[in-house]
Amino acid sequence: MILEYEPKDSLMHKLNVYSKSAFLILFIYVISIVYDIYTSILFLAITVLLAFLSKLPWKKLWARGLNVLTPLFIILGLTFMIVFSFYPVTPKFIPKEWLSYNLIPPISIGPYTIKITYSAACYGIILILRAFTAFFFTSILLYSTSPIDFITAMIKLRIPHQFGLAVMMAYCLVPKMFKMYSEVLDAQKCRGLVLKGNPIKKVRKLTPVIFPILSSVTSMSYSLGMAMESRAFGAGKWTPLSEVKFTLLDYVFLAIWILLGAVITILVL
Amino acid sequence: MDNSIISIELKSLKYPFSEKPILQDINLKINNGEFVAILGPTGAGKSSLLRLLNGVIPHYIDATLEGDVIVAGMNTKDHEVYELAQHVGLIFEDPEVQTVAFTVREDVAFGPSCLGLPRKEILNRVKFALKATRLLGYEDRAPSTLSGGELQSLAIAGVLSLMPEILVADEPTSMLDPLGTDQIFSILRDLNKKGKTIIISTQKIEKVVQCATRVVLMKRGEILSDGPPRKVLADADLVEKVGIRRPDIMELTYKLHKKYHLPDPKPLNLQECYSFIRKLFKEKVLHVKTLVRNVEVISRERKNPIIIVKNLHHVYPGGVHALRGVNIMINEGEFVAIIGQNGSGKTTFAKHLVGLLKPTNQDAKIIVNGSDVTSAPMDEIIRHVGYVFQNPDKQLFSETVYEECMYGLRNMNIPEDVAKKRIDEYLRILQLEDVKEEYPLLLDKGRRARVAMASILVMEPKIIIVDEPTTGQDYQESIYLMNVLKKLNEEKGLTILFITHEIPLVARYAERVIVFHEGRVLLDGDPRYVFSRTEILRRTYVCPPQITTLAQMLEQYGVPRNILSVEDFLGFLEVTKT
Repeated sequence: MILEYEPKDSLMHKLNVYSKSAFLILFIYVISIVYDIYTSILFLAITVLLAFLSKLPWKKLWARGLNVLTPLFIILGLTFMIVFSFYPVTPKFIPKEWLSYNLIPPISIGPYTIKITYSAACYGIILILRAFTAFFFTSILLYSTSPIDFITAMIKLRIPHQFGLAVMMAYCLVPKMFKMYSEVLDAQKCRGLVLKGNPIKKVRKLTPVIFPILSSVTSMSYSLGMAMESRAFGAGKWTPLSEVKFTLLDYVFLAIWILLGAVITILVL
Repeated sequence: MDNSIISIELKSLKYPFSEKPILQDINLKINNGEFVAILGPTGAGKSSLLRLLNGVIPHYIDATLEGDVIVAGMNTKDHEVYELAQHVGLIFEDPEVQTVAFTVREDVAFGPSCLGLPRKEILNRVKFALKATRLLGYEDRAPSTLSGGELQSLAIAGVLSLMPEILVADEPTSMLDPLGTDQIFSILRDLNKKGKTIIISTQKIEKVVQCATRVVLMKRGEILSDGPPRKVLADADLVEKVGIRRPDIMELTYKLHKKYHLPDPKPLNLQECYSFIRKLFKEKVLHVKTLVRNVEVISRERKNPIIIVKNLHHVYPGGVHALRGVNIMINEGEFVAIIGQNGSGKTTFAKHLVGLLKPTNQDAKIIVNGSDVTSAPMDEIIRHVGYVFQNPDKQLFSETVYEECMYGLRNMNIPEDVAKKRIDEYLRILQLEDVKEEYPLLLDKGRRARVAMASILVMEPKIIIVDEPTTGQDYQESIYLMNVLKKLNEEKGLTILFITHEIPLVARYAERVIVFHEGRVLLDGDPRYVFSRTEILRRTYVCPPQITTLAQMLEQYGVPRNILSVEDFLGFLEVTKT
């Protein structure tokens, strides 16, 4: 469900890990002080722009999770809309008289009524927009930042390098696991595996796929561990290959983030 | 004190939970600058021996060690792996599990970074290691974009950056194509010339004897012979007992010696053998029989096409054009070898035949056993075509061998009693009856491959596609598997397609060879025809069998170009009577 790092020549790849993460901090800060549709659209727009600036492979992203998450986010949003229609919520940016305005005519099923009010719809949309923003930004961050840089940053934050390396190795296994999954699935399809039927049946049928993957991943991590030991892992030290450097580009981006944060804060107050 | 850099005095090495020791009575001293080839079948303890050298055994892998292993003056028991790793670089069989980072530079820098060296020193070492492995210019590429050979070179670079004086390689080329194999051997040879001690275990004997200065033969945890390659391999009986294959050219001069009492120079490379035979021709000791000057191509009459592929194109989602218009017709009962470099489209082609991949062009036609594979559902296709995947570990999941074979049959709704009969029959053919109730993943490598093959064979397809059946298997197991396939082909009329990199096996078993190159069929025909087209083969880096190359070098003396085996060659030679 995630995109792994790919070395590319793009604007986002040139930014350092701090100035990229700063956007995440700004995003968290903003969603904690405002709750409206306009900032959500603004942040999604910025994220999509950043995605283009990082040359994100959309097709791969779609195959690696966006195809599953898109309906999931939308269903979540709809659920949110229905649930919040029964609570008196008063977002700041909605005129009072619209609050009880029903977006769809209430549907009665037996003793229950389902309705979506205007304000609840806004909440649902905000949720969907924010979920997509978070997903896209995580993808951009992982796609454009070398895991080594994360470790370097972690060491700066006084987290032991072994922990960082362990995370990186697990992360290294992700693309290999994707490859393995399709290999195993192909092999079992040739032995008559057909993934049809209801979800419970489907899951039961996956045993011949899951089991070889688990055993292969186990042996793979064992071999990887051996390869790491053979490369002097365990000496207890770590020199990061490259220092996280601040360039003009980073300062420009940081300035943009701070400015944006300040403007939103002033507007809210 | 002697000047050996490695000294192993081992009484026994035992893994927990196993009764028999994996190594026993090993006394081995290796001097600085040697190139040692460790040869032997699987289960000989080669890997265990190599893993002792950098302390992975006993520090990472739990084992009971009786005796001492001294490497560069350090007893491996008393020093940690990271200390030993600075003297011994160990690389493994599978290049994919050895990458530890997302760019080539970071991967090579991993070792020195772990040692906490200054950054400038790390960068110097990275440059040195990449230069030695010919990967300069690849610094910013992702390992996943490299070919198998390049990936294994990267693994070598990764340990070289620790500046070890010894390099140990455990079957480094068994998963590579011929081009990748050549890359690795030439890198190792260069490193050896620069003074590094190289210790390698491999099944590619023809390649390794050309650079090794010493050969160690092992079987069942013991060293049977140790010495210069010429001397060790000259003992034909011992080599056969160990169960490895001698290079063709050595076999040829040995047989000439036995048959005609000619001197045996025990040649290690083609040039030596060529000059020897040429001298015999020039001195008129030998000549080619006058009657037959060319090998007749005997082809069995086959008329019933079972696979028809027309204008097949395939473009992967990433935009890679893997197949560019393939037209192939395969007749019923043929034994076909598919060869070519990795990425030439062999596997992509084969996957179309079982419907795992669909053509990306509209006018492609794939007819297998009378049904159109492009539109038929998978569960229908597998009744006609069986596909045995390369790695058995990626498909075995059952608790017993019997259950493993049952899986496919249950999916096909075959009645229990018929299924039972079939399983018993195929387990007998593959000599697996005695492990019928055992856990498949705990069997040895050769048997696991057999179980995977049995699980497809019981479904009784008319066509079977075997993807690199002999990768990582030793010589005897490879021959065994190929013999089983040959038997099935002859007795049951099974059509067999096997994808492989092992040219000697192709020469020995296939009745038709299809060579893929950049998504197209480069050559298609009888092995004698295909291997005599050396100029065309060179484009895709496929070398004909050693004996064929020798025959082609001797063409001016009347030796036919299309010889395939030592026996063939001998059949054309005659001693001039004086």
